[in-house]
Amino acid sequence: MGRKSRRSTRVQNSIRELRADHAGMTQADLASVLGVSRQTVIAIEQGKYSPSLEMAFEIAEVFGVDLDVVFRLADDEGKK
Amino acid sequence: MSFHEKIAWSTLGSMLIVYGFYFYTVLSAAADTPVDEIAYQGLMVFMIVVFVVMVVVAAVVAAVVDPREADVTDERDRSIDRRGSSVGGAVLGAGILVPLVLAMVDAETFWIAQAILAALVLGQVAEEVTKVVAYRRGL
Repeated sequence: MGRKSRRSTRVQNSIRELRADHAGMTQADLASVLGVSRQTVIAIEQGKYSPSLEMAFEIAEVFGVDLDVVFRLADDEGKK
Repeated sequence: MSFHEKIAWSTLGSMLIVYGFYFYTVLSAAADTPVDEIAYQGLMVFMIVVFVVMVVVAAVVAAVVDPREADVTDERDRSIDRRGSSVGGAVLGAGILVPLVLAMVDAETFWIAQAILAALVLGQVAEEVTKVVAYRRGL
């Protein structure tokens, strides 16, 4: 809160690319598998919401990859 | 827009309309009538009922329009709800000091009642605004 930056978290992700690689899985498809709203998937993709560790693992599991393929911490540029 | 965000918006809108009307009516009356002659009680109860009905109707409409989304309450909704409650609670806690002080100085019951309702409304408005901002700008 209070920061002007559009992103509100320092966590970056590759969900959009991973969805594209998985037969063009839509945001709604992913939301339905995870049991969350489509808006939550959108917020995670846009870096506006950092999911819980549990959901992060579930997302990695959906794509069959390790957690650090999906999420990584942004460099210091996000800090200031 | 998710179901819970729609509820936050509709609650906020309903509050501004209903309590805006209530306070405008009652405070206008207070400007030219001795407050102990103003029968605010009936209007206050009626407006609270109207508010509850508006919120319920809005929730039903939102659920009918998009039944799938209405079933989903996820961790983001719960986090946003917690942040809203925390801010709303703080505002309510601060706001309730006003009627407390009014009671201590033996103010008219009319003003104590208005101040209590105002504290409740401001707390709820702060909660809904916090939620809407979190839904829009990120948590």
